[in-house]
Amino acid sequence: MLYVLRTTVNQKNIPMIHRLAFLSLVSTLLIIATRDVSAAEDRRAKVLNDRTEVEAMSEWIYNDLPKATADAGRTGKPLLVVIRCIP
Amino acid sequence: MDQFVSVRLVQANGLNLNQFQFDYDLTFSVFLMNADGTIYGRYGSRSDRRDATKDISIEGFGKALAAALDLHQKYPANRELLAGKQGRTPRYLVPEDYPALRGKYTAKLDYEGKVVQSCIHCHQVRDADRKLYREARTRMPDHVLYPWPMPDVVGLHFDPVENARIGTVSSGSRAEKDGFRSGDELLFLEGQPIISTADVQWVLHNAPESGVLNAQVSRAGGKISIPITLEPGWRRNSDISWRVTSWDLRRMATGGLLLRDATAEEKSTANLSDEGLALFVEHVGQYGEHAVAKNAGFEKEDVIVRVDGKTEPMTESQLFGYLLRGFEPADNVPMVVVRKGKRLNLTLPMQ
Repeated sequence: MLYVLRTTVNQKNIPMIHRLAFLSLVSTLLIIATRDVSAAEDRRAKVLNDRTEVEAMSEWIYNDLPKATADAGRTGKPLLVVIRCIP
Repeated sequence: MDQFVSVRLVQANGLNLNQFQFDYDLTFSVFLMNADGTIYGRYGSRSDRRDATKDISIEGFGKALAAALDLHQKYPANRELLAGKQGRTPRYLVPEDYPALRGKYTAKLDYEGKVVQSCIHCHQVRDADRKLYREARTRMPDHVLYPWPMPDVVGLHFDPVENARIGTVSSGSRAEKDGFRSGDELLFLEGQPIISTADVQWVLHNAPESGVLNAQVSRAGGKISIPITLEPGWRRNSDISWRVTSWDLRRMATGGLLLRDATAEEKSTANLSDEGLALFVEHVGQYGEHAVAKNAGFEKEDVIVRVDGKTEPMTESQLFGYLLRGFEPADNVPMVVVRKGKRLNLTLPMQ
């Protein structure tokens, strides 16, 4: 993002007051971008952790309906299918 | 739980929509099934914007599991009774085939890449379905606008800690006139065994726009049949404001306005009577297609008192229906709002 700003604005032509505003804008955008990246990473980690945690519980099959259906057919048990978003 | 094979599905990608028809606004939904695909019952209901667990409970879920086990033990002798739990063939067999989703998603999550962005959320199925009607400029049917009605809409309020026991019957409601009483246990509806409120919703969701449903009820140790009369427009009293898919209805119908019924105090402040239309603007969308109302001059805390010349009371959910049934994208709807005691004429473009 900083690269884009630097390559689209010729800083020599910017008066001091505008440079301060420019730096302020860059700082704000950097904070927002960092926060967005952090939120996206959190979300990704949640999704990956969810799979690890549920797979660790041997009584649950994770996201594999064909396997669950085959197991139900083999064992004669009914299926409990839970459709649940990752919180 | 160990009497079931338990599987958790976390995305709608690749979901067989012929098999798995449920309330796509839910973030928790359960199917109890045979391995051959026969559905014993569904579990999972919601009717409140803030309280997602108002209509469900661990006790109720446990009773639904027990009832499903009972149906499983009687299977396949009861196969015919369960046939109605399977839905009609949908227009698209998997979510990613809908035009609004096609090319953007695949049948699987991309665990190695952008896994979060690769996920189709269940509610996107309903959003995509509604877009088909809107973009084709065809009337959106009531069952598409008001999906999976809670039985409350006919006056029946089920106890969430039971399978399908009626907690209360609304005074003066159609259900009361039909003969329902508090404490009745709904056993069968349209011949289908009922193990949860979600099962009742399934039958209501697929019911006609008017007609009579046949309920078999356990009362005081005996079994009796009671009709459920569905009057024309019966679905339109459903409150759909809690649904995440109502966000896109707000884009289409109200240009990004989030509305609620004005309180008595707000009506009094605006010098409005108790009888007329009074929808309070709680939020005004700020960006893109959700900023159409803002750009048309609507402001937060306005009270809408007239829509297309009509001043009869309407909820936000009923307003969606009125506007989406009566107007096409690019139509303009005249409205009157009260702002700080003054009446203003505004025009809201439909999308």
